[in-house]
Amino acid sequence: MADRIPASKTSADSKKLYGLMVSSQRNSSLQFARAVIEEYQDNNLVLSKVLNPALIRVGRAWGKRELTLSQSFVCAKIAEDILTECTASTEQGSNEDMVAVIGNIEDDYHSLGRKIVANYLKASGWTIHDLGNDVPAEDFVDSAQETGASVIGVSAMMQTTALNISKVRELLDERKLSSSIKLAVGGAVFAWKPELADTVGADGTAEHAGLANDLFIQLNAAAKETTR
Amino acid sequence: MERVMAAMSSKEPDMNPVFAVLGVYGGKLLDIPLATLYQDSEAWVAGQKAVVDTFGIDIVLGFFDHSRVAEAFGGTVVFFENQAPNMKKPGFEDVEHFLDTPLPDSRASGRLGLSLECLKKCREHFGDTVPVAAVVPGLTAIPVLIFGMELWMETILFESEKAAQVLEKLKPFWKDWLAAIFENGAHFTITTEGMAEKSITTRDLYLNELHPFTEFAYECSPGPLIFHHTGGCINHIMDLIARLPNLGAVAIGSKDSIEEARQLLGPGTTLIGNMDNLAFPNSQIGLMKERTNKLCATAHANKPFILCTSGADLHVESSVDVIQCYIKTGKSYGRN
Repeated sequence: MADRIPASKTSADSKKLYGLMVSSQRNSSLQFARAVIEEYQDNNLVLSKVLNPALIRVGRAWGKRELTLSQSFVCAKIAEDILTECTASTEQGSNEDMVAVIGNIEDDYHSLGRKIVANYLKASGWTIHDLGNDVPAEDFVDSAQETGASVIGVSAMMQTTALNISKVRELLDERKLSSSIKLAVGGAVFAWKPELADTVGADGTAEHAGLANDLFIQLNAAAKETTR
Repeated sequence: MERVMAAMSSKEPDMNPVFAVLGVYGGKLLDIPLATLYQDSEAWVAGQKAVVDTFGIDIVLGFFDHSRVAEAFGGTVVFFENQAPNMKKPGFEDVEHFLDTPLPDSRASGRLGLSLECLKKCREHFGDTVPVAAVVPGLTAIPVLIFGMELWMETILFESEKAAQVLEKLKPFWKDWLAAIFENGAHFTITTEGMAEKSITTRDLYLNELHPFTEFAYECSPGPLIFHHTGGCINHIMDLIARLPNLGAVAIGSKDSIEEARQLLGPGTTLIGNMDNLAFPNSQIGLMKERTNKLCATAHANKPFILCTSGADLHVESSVDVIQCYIKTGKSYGRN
C-alpha cells in the first residue's frame, strides 16, 4: 500500500506538518495528520516519513534558537497527538531494540523538559520507561536492568541537582554495566554549560529535546556494539 | 546604601556597587541547616549578616524563596542540604479548581508571613546602610508555582482566555503582597520574570498574553521594581521592559549583550548583571579576576550599572576566595 505514496508526497506532507507545528496550530496539525493517515493507510509510513522528518526539522530550528520552549512544547504535544492517533488501532510504532529509561535525578522536580523528550522519543519509535521526578540513582539502574534498556536518560535543571547524576555513573561502573547501558544527560543547565556532562560522567548530552533521538540512537548503537 | 542608590540614580558612587545572590550561602557560612535557614527568620537574618561581613556586598536579600508561594497555594515543598527549597508538587492540577478557590492571604498563608518577618528583621538590622531587596516571582510566573510549568504553559498556549482569568484573579493577591513587602521595609523588589525569557516564550506570545499583566504588576507597585531575567535572555523584549512604570532597574542574563541592552533600554535606567553564576564553582581566583575585569570594562561603558551574579543562588561549592575576588575586583574596577 505504501508503495503508492511517492517520496515527493511524503516530503511535502512533512513540510506542511512542520509549518503547522511551529506555528503552534495543534488542532490543524491533528486534522492534517488524520487526513494523511487516511490517505496513506500505513501508520508506520506516517510516523517515519511525515512526523519524524518534521520533528528533525523542529530539532534543527530549536538548535539554532529559532524556536522557544513554548513552541517546542506545542510540537511535542502535536507529536503525542499524532502518535496516539497512529497507535490507537495498531501496536506499531515502538521498537524492542530501542528501549530507554528516563527521569529527573534525585532532588529535581522540573519535569517539563523530560516530558517533551519522552514525547519526541516515543514518536521516533523508542519504548520509554519514564520514572518521573526525584529519581534516586539506584532506581534508574535497577529499572534499566529490569527492562533491558540500553540508555538511561537523566534530566536536571539546576547545577546543584545535576551533580547528583554522578551517582548514576558510579553505580553503572560499580555494577560493570557501563558498556551495555549508556548514560545520557540533559536539561537547562547542560544546555547552558555542556562541559558539565563530562563532570557527571555522562556518555553524551543533547542541547535540546529535538536532538535527543540522535543522541539516544548513537548511544544505543554503542551499547549494542560493545555487548555483541 | 548610598552606593547603590547613586548607581540607580545615575550619580557617581564612591565605589562600584557589587552584588551576588547569596541566600543559601549565608547558611553555609554559619553552618546553619538550610531547612532552618528557610524556616526561621533569625537564622535568615544571621545568614545575611554573615554574607555582608564576609563579602561586603552592597544589597541584602530580605527573602528569596519562591517555594513559599507554591506552599501558600497548597503545593508541597522539599528542603535540601545544598540548595534553596523547591516545589515538589503544585497545589492545583486543574485550572478550573483554582478559579473556584479563594486566594491565600499574601501576608500570612503558609510561610509568606515568614518572608515578611525576614524582610522586616533585615531592614531593622541593616537600616539604611545596605539596601534590602525582596525577591518575588513575577505576576505571570506565579502560576508556574500554582500549577507547575507544564499545565501553565498548556493553559497559555491552548486556553488563553483561561490563562487571562488566572492572572486576573491573581491581581489582588499581587497588589496586596507588594504593599506588604514595601510596608515591611524593602527598598526595592526584584521580580523574576521567567515567562518573559527568550527561550521560554516567543515575543508575540509574551506581548499578547502576558505583558499586559506585567504592566499591571508594575503599575500597582508602591515602590521600585527590578525586572529580572531568571537565568535566560531578555534583550528581545527590552523595549517593552523600558516602558514599564516603577521600573527601578533591569537585571539581564549572562548571555544578554550589555551594549545591546543599553541601546534598547536607553540612557538613565540602571542595568544589573550579568556575571554567569555557573562560572563560580571550581573557578580559580585568577580566572575570576580576569572574567570580572572583562565584564566591568563593558559595563562601565554602559553605566549606570550594578555588577551582579546572574540566575539563582551561587552554588555552595563556590569558594569564599573566588567570591571575594569577584566582589573586590568589581568594586575597585576603574578606581585605581
